[in-house]
Amino acid sequence: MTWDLTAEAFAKLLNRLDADPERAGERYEGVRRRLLRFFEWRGASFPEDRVDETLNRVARKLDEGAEIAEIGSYCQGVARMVLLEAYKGRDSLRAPMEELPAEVAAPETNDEAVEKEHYLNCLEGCLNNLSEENRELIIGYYQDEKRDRIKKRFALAERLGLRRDALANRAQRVRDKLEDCVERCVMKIAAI
Amino acid sequence: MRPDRRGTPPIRDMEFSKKNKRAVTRYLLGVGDEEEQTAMEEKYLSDQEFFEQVVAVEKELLDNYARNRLSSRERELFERHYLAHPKRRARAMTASALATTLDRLQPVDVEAETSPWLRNLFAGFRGRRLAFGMTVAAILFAAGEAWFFLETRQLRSELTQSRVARTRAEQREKELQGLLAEQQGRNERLSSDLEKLSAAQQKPAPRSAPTFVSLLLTAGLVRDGGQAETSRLVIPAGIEQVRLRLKIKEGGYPRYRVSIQTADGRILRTLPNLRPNAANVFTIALPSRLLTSGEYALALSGINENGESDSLSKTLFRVESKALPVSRIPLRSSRTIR
Repeated sequence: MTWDLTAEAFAKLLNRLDADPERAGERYEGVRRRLLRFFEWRGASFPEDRVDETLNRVARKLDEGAEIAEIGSYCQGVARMVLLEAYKGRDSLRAPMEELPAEVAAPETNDEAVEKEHYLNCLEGCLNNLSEENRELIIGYYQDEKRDRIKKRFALAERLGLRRDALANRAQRVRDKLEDCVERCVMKIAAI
Repeated sequence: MRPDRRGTPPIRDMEFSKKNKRAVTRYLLGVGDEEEQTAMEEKYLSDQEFFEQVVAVEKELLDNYARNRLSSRERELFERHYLAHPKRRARAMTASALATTLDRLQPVDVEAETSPWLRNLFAGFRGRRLAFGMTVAAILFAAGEAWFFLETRQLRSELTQSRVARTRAEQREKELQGLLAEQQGRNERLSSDLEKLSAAQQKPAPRSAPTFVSLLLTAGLVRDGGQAETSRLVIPAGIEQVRLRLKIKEGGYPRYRVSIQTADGRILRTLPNLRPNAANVFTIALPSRLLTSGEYALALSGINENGESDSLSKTLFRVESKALPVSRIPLRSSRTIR
């Protein structure tokens, strides 16, 4: 039996996350982001779909009137269930090391050089699509300055009027967006 | 899961201990037992600040790999485990491209733009007239400094763009030369393969067994929350064609588009102009060699009268192929990407 996520069920989920709609939206994004990395780090295929599946199941439970004491823990439990289902019927990507081939780093092939070129081109385009401030942030934050990195990051935080932890969070989010942009761009090229 | 904004200070304010960093690195590299992994997941799934730290360690790991700074053991684990997932591999490729691009740029000067020395310079002057004159001079100087700063910033931005363009052009040229050499080698291999294939085709093949297998899928299972288990298609040796049958609940669109995607997001084939039969079933025939063992998604979109498309469903299925691949498909799961 299938179940469609309705606007009403989604609103219930948001409301359960936080009574304030704006904070609920932020919190939803936070949960989504963490779940996405969870599925990625655990090696599940199609991580975005697994996240949708997890959140849909939680929304469905709430829609059916289930009493959920702690929504965060409940999401975790459902995510683990979805992960197990993803693993079911196939070998886990976290296979013991001894079962993996000893030499996996193959010499660079023609395809690989082309792929690298795609990534460089896409990165260039995506960097140009960032606002000037975000582009400077990425360049300033991630440029390789082994000895002066901490000092430079302090100076960057001061210049942008941010606390150091806020700077780190912002740099990460901009980089996440950059990674998504590059990945979409590369996939688009691969589909042509 | 939301961090408490009024309570304890966020972890970011404290030093993320070396021990924590090691534990996160072990997790990302797939080392450690299930208990250790679960403990790490419970922590980052319930604590946004800790999660941000884990992501920071991941980015550092990616950058260190891209810049060849991992120990040999870490590198080995990274290549064996981390690169084995398409999404993670895409992150590593992006990190590599980012390191290449940033390393070719002039270091960015991010010193805070304050000029306390200007104030100190005039602090010793006491006379009113002198002070007035110096104030005017200071204003003019400050205006000049602002103009100079804006001008410098503009020039720096242009210089950066020009450097990026130049380095990209140099790299393109270098890689094109490499491509040419590779292409020549590839042509030779293709000619050899072609000869072998022609020889094989001369021999008549017995055709008593069925030449296709089919799999019935129901659209919308993944997103509807009713998925119990991913459907599985076994392709025995000797099978030439696969027929995927996709059932939808109801029609409503004049035509549909179906795409077959691999787990790493590559689109294997797109069928742009499909209509279901009377039982609302699409039949998609594919050569079996197209589907190697792994997970796939069948994405369905409806196309309306105006040519606009609506994404309708994405249905996952898994293939176990016993057929020998005809084409050379390179192993893309784990490779050195620098």
